[in-house]
Amino acid sequence: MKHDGVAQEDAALFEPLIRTGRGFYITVAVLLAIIALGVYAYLRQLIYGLGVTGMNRPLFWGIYITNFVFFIGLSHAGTLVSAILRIVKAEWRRPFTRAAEAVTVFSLPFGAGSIILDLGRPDRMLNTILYGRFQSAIMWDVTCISLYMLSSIFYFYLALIPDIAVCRDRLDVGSFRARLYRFLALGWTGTERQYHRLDRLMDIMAVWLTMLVVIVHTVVAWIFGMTIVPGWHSAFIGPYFLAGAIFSGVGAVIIATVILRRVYHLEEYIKPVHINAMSLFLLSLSLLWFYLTFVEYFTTFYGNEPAHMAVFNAKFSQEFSPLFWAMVVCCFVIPVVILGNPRTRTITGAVVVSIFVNIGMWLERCIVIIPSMARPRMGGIGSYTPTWVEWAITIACFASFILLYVLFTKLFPVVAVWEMHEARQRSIPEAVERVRSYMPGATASSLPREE
Amino acid sequence: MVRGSSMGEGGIIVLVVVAVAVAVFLSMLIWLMQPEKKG
Repeated sequence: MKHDGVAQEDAALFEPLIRTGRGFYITVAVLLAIIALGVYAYLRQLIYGLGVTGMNRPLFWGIYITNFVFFIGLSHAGTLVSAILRIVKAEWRRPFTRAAEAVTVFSLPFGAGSIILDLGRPDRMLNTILYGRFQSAIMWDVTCISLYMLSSIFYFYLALIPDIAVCRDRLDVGSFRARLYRFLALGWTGTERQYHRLDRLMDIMAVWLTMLVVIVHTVVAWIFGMTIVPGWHSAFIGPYFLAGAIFSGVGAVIIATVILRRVYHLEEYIKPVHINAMSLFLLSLSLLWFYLTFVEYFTTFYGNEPAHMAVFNAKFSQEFSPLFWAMVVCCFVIPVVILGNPRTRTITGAVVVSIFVNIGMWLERCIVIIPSMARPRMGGIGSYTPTWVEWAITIACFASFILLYVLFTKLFPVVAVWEMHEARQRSIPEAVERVRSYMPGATASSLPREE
Repeated sequence: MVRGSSMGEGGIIVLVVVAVAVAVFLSMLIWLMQPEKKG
């Protein structure tokens, strides 16, 4: 048997690939202008050195490293939403798995790339390969992030193959795109055996990626945690970073899916029930984040060690306190107030909260990294104010991430069409059978009747 | 060369891990795309 995995009702998902409105070109032009400014700023940094940034002694890590942790964290969204929900067979995941996976794949380069931006001499990145010593936590990071990037791209690509084949067979596009689809489809014919094997590979990769997410963000946290710097040296920093990463990632997926829903008219695919489920998930993560933050800071406060208290006070009541309390408002107060109330837990409410959560989580990365260096163990007080060069490069990173995402939506369907088709054909009877298998007293008569 | 370092064993580990991952993923793709035997 052979099918190309597309029901007629999914034809709308291919519309954005064929028709392009003026809004697309305006968006791309604006993003390119922002990126050009970032490139100019980076060239200045490259020519004049890190002196053009606000980094100084002892504050030798600034917003580039904040961006590194933030983007890597953001990338966990795709894996979490797609892989974990796949493992637990949550059917509601299907319309936005691809949007989530795209967040992973497009944010990872800017996470890893931020390390290169942080180097005055980017060529020295090669030293990690030429002279790297595995005793250093940075080498664990290079290993894990390389592996994670490869695995995420592969997982993303695997799930794209059947849809690329449909684009190859059905779309009447220019010769470049036709050749691209033909090349990327790898001769996919859509036989039952191929779908069966694809399912098995996706299951294996989902488990593998879920493990990697935990490892990667723990290792990212260890870059800080394995030092004896006050505020960083904590066994707790790995799980704390991981929870925060998932938190910001889920927020990013909500923002991406709601924008796609509106721009590409996907109301039939991404429904309020999906956003509601994701909102409740985000709310739970907000509560978890608050609990972990409270435990972390209360332990420091109660221990009352002078070096740690210097960092604690810098965050709570001194120069970093506006950032700290803004973080608490963005990551806890706003999500609980808006998403805790069913009347405000709407699509708009979810997007507003997600934006605040991402601002708050970016601030959290700042709050973890910068104050600890401003209060070094050996005494003294450091200060740091990012320059326009750092801001321009940071904003350009975000613009590049969005640009890649926008271009992707014009080349490939943003909803996994074959997964929707599979869900219609198989998932409903399978779900009924699954419920029946564990529900005592369920009989054939309790099953929904065929019309 | 960095004095005192044991000359890049970290880099070798990274490269080996990446090479193994690429090999595994490529074999997965080959398995996925294997043509069906006739008859």
